[in-house]
Amino acid sequence: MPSIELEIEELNLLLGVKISIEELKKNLSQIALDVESVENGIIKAEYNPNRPDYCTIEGVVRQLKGRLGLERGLPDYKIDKGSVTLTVDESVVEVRPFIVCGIARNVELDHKRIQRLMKIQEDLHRLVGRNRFKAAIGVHDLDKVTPPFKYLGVKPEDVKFTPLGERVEMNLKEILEKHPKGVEYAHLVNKYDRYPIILDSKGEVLSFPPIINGVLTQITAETENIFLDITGYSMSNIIMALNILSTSLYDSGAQLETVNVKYPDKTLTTPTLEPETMKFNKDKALKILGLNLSDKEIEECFSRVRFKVEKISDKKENIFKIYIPPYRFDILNEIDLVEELAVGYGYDKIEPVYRHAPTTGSYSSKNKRINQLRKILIGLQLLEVVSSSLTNEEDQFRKMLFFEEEHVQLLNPVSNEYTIFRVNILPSLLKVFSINRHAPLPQRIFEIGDILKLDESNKETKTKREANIAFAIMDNSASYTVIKELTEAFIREVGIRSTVYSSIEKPFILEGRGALLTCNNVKVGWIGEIHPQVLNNFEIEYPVCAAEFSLECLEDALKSNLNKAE
Amino acid sequence: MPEDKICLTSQEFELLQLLNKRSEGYELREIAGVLKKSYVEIIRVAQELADKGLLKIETVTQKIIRLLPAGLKAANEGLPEREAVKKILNTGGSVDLNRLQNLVSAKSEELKIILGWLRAKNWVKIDKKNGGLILTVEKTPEESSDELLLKYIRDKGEVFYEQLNDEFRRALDGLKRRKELIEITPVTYRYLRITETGRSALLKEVELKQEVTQLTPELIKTGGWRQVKFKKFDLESPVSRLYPGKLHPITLLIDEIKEIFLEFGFEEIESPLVENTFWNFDVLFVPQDHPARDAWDTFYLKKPARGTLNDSEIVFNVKTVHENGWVTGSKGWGYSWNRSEAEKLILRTHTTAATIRYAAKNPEPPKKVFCIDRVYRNERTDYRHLAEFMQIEGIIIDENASLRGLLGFLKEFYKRLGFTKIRFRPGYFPFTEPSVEVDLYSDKLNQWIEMVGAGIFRPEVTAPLGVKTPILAWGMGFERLAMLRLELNDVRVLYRNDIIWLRNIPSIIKKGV
Repeated sequence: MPSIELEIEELNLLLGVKISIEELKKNLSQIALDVESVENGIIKAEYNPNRPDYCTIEGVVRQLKGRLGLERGLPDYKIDKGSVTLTVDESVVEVRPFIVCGIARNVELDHKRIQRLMKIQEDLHRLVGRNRFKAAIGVHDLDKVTPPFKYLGVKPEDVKFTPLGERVEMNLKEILEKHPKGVEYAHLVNKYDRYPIILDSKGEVLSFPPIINGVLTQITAETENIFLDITGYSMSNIIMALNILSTSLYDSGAQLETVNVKYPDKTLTTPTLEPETMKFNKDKALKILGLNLSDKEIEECFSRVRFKVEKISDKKENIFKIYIPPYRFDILNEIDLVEELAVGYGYDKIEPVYRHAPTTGSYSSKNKRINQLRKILIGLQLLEVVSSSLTNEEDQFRKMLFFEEEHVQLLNPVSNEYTIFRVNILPSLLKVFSINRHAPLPQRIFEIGDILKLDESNKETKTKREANIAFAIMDNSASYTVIKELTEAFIREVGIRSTVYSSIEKPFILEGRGALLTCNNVKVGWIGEIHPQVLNNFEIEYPVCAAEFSLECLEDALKSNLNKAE
Repeated sequence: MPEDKICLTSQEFELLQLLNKRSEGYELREIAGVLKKSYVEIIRVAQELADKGLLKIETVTQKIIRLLPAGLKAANEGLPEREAVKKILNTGGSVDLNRLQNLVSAKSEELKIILGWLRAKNWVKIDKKNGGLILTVEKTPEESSDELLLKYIRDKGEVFYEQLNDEFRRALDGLKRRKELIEITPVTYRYLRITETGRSALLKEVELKQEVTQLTPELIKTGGWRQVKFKKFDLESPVSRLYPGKLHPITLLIDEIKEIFLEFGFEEIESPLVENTFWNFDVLFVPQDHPARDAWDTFYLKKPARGTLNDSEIVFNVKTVHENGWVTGSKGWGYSWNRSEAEKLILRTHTTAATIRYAAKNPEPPKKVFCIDRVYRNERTDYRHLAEFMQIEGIIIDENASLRGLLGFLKEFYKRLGFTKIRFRPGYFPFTEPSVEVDLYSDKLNQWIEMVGAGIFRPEVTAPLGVKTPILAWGMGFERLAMLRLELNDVRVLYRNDIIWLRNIPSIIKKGV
């Protein structure tokens, strides 16, 4: 989750009141900022990705002031009409089609604020820009260049400039090859013939978006006027980034000024910071929240989260028109306003009430059966183990001396330990023995767990989830006889009457010491003594006998038991 | 009794005779082997003789050191700082910290530890440059004593602490501080030695005492029990330990939680572990380019890689709701939805895929269902993270469902799980609105813990499925609850199946969270 660091002293200064740390923590949590730590006067708080406006301290303060009742309603943003223009050339449309701009005048910058501005840029690149693909931000010292500006596509070798972090001029191709940012983001432009570039009227380079700005317009503590360019593939995302940045600059004391962005077919004047509106049905909202609020209370709640409310006269229904602040982009639907209402009211003030919807409870039939089997197995003095259902080919197959083609394989595992889903449980049990060599014998264990089978008949997921039952004994005297005694007792307790043991050849079972188990003519599984080579592979030093059955087959066998009884 | 006679039971006589053969004595286990008697029996007899001054019992506790799987790996492949040094040398002998982190693919906490050891062993030169750290290695360092010790233990299988020299003992302290490398088990040895009195007693004439240890069927049937004297047992003397069959604590806890669900009238549901991204993400209104879908933490399948979406209205509705909000009044996400992306198969990342599938099939209220089941995340495992874990998830489909009712239910539900204090704050999940983060107060940890996410499914989720009533939903991880109840600090212990741990943990799990 993204996070922001807030200096408590600065927070108090911006709020205009002094608030105890405990109160701050409580109030931050109620506006969806989760305090991670408080150290050296700095609060570190996590926020959700739907609130990129929280990447600026101004964004946090704005919301907090509403919660504390220090300021209410929609923040008012005044924007001067500016004369600077930027022309979008058709040559850039293919590689990076959209751009919006803005100007912030009379900014006050120092080292800390410049650092902060860079952090905001980084956060927005990640949260709004999808790593500069959908949106990338350039921040420039306006006074170092001469408007009007031009946004165009150029051949990679045709333009040279000194990028940030370098001392010499490089052409665009060289930047992609040599500059760290160029290497990192080359994939966003290098499949095109022309690369995007922003030039001033004298042909000086401001930026090579979304890669790097020029040294020329680098902002410093002396910078007074800032020019913002936001380019990208998504108009809504670049506006999101522009609005969040410009409202933050405005709240920190700058004056905003519009830029005319001339596209071949239209002119945009940005930023606008006009609130969008949405209709809101009071009765529906209150039913979902389970609250009873008057119109005045509703207005009050919305104003605490910095929204504005207007009642629309309508005789039948209670409809409001809600104005959404220009830095909020998470209001997709009326239901999002319902949540805003709840946040404005305060989650901490909602009185929980328990209502009972009359339904009857039940276990799933599969888990009910598994629980019955577990009880039988513990009665046979077996200890239950629960292991991971993910494994790897080495443990599942190679050590077991056999290979089963039909198994679920993972595409992108981060570790070699988990690369496939198990098809048998016995290897899991052998693994348990192998790590428990020092525990006193006999070790008698069982597991009833998930396995996956490939299943073409299931169109949607091509797999079938099944459960297997396995038990095993490691002891000096573990043998076929021991496991057969145990299996017979188990089958008897399950209630199956007819069982046949026939010879079976499995590479992991000692020849002549393993049997296929057929119950009521259904093959349910096998039992046997584990081959010493397998024991060596698992570094097990004592004899092991084991059994593994399919739960599904056991159910089938039980069913034919019933049929016979009828 | 005349002085040239001594009265012993046959077992006592047998034991004394054995001890008489070797003046330095025998260890109890060895005796049990030779006499083919149980350990417990021998102790009982020996205690009797010791009381009479005929033999001496000497108890020695020694510490056995063995390697755990990670320790064995470290003995074979080297400790993490050895790997770091190798990698640094392979990349030219000098790297910065970030590069090192990539090279050894460690989390920052792990990196810190590696750095600590590199410093402590003086294997690297560390310089500050541009606010970062540069690490330089000149040559492959010689094996440090902890590495030698690991190999020593590996070669011996197990070693006694008492046999280690000072250097190894110091190295052991270092290894102990690292997680999961070695284990040290104290083992008690009892040595029995015959005393001078015992030796001279054997020179006398031995009269075998007729004391009955075990009541036999013979004695019962014949009434012989009336004539004999029964030996009085030492009531405190140790007996051998039984290992009952028992359920894993995970099963016990899950059963306990299921019972609570049933008391509230919830029905348990079954669901697939392999999902397509459609049901895991798309139906839940998570856009197809959402960062959570990145290969980062979802296990995609190589085989089978893809299924086919059942051609239903739902697919069309979900597509439209993503693109433009469909009839829900929503703006949607404003992109062009891709069917083939939705057909990709994954291991489900949350049990919400299960509850939402149920809701699609059973849209009519009232319904209350739950599952406690496995989910998968493509993450490296450590003491806090598993790639495979369990979620507890429930939904309530109810005409009169409300946020206030959801909070009321959660308060009641968690009270039964043992959490008496609960608090709510706004949260965010792509599929619920309003969304709630639920904090529960842990008395054991003495702090609030963030454990539960909850909310009401968005209309963009319910409308495409034909559900017309609100659905309350909540979910939580099972393992954190289990760790609290079982007082564990390392989540991996839950699924490691250490048999000694399993045998020791009582089947009645203590209350308290």
